[in-house]
Amino acid sequence: MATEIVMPKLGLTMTKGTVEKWLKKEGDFVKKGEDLLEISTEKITNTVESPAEGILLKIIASEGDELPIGAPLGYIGEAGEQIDTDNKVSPLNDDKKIESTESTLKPNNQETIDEHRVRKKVKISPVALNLAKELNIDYTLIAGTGPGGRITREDVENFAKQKETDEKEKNNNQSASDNKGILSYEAIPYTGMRRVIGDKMSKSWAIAAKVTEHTSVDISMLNQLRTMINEGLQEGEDKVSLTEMLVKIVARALEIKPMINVSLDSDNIKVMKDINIGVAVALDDGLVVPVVKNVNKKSIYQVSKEVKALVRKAREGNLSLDEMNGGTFTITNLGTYGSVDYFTPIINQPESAILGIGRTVETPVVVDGQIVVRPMMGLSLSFDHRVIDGAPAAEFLAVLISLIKNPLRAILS
Amino acid sequence: MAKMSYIEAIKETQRAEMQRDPNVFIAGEDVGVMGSAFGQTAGLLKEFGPQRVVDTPISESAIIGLGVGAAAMGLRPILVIDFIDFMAVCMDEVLNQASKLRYMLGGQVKIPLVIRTQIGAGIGAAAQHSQSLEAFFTHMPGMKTVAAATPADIKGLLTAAIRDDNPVMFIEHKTLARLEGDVPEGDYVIPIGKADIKRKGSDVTILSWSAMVHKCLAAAESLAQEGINAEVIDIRSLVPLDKECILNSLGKTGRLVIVHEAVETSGYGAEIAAMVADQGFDLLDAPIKRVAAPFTPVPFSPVLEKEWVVSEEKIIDAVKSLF
Repeated sequence: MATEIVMPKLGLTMTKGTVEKWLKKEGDFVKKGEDLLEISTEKITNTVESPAEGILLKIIASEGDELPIGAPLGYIGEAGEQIDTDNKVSPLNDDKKIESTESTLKPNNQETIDEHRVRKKVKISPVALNLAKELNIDYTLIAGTGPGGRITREDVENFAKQKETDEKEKNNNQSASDNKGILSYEAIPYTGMRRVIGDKMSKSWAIAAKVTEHTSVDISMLNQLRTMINEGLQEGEDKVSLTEMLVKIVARALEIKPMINVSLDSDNIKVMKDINIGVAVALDDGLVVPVVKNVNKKSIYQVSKEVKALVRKAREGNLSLDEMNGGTFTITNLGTYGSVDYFTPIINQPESAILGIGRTVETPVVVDGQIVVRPMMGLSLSFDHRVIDGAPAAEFLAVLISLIKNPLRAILS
Repeated sequence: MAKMSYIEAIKETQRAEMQRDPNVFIAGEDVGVMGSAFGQTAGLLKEFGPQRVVDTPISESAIIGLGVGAAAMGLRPILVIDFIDFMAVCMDEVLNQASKLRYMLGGQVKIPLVIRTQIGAGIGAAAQHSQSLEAFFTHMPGMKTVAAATPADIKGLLTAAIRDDNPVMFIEHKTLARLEGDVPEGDYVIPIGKADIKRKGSDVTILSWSAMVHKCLAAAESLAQEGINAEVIDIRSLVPLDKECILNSLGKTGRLVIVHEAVETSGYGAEIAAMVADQGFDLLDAPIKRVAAPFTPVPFSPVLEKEWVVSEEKIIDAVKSLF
């Protein structure tokens, strides 16, 4: 009779746990008390020890599954043993294929382990059996070549050798996909900044009712103004960039349309008094968003200086937590790559809107009945429809367009 | 090293021990004037006189009886019962006297006697003169049983048997009489209870004793042609048994084939198989195989006798069945 592994109760208040990582594979031989898997609760991570000695016949709970205490996680038993799970509803069944073949054979919905392990009696010599146990090999997977199909010592040795070769191949990152149909890859751990980005993006995607509005705007005036600002620079003074000017202009637009500068906090929509603009900075291995505080109260030169300092710190990996917190709106600029017109940026929660900047393209447009060529820049405003409707977003874009077309007042404000 | 035959080795070993120790004497049917059926005692009467080479009446009971008494009084008799088949006649003296007295008298006496006898079919001697009954004597606490397959082993084992303070069944094989081999010169003793690996191998252990050792060696050579490298063990001593040698070999090969000339049922192979199943179970990579005679008397018909005796082919087949 197979022994059930269950979600343990690790503390008085624990009601459920998450399977973090299995430390053993199906088919592995385990000793009683040996570490089987790691589980976590909101507070701690802990290791579950094997309740019995034998083969890990079946893993029911997949990594990442959250289960109540007492829920079955897997089974330990004799090699080839059939698991009786008649009266238990397993929370997950990751092996649909086998389940379907089994159910056609057994209408009573009895779950079994892999087909080839259903054989109850396996002929194996004593020395081969011992070797299999020593090497943690599930001998029921071995095809015996001895008389009557008995598994011999040589069979176990060959199986172990093959297993070792297979694992080596699997671990060899450099090896190209071969004709066995096994995909070869390099595994990069999904941890650190990558994981933080992933978690934030998916969470935002999941909670926000996201809408994106696209438009394009003539930036010829903005370019002129920028040229003027940057004329006659002293040695050591940096040029003001287009992004920096847009940070300043967006801050002005948010002053005019404060209902875009909002944040949803369960029961309240917080209309933020500060206008703190995050600027997305691409790094080799990810993305960070340093925040320029109180942009509306700072001069273009001050904003420019601060953005430059933050971007440099970001690239050097020296941003402090304070410098990344407190944003009320974010700008993300893909225009410099010259490839993207419009896109649908994901809102940097708990903010409610984000402005994506596309490339600037010399485009024939009609001005005063004349076809003229103008530098047209793509704008994509993503906003959270839970708190911002389409019309106010469109109004905000209209304000923004007019400010970009006539930037002097915004820049001077 | 001296080259000599199996028979010469028997004769010369007895001569040497009789020269060395005046307490050693020989008694048996036709051991004196005749020099025994195959010449195993030829010339000894002339050299040592009728006091030490005693022609007895045709009474196996008398031979063993006088031996037990003489041994108890301090002599070291070599008692010759030509064929092991005749041992049935003197079993009381062997079973109830020779093997028991030392125990029953609380160790106050020793019974240092040797019973030299021959086993084996193959010479058309029929059911009453062809048996291999060595297993009988392994069921007898107090009795040692050895079997020599080569002239050298004859010298080493017979010397050890004569010098042993307990009764020893010394099993010869009649088909080996003319087998020649190198025999170490001078004092040469093989401790009783020590097996001999007659051929080193790695794939299967073929275990035997007496004449069958030679068939096993021949089978091993044939198997080698087919890529099976057999180890051949001559246990030489049935009781006591060299378990260590057997288990060590099995640890290497994982497969065991036991070959003996006696009928399979209750043959000594059964005892060895049981010992291995008990103490060497975890070493086994295949079932233990026995190759032995069918459970019938030895046929007189030469055709049937040849079929009855374990052949090289049967050994080869048994070994192959384990792969």
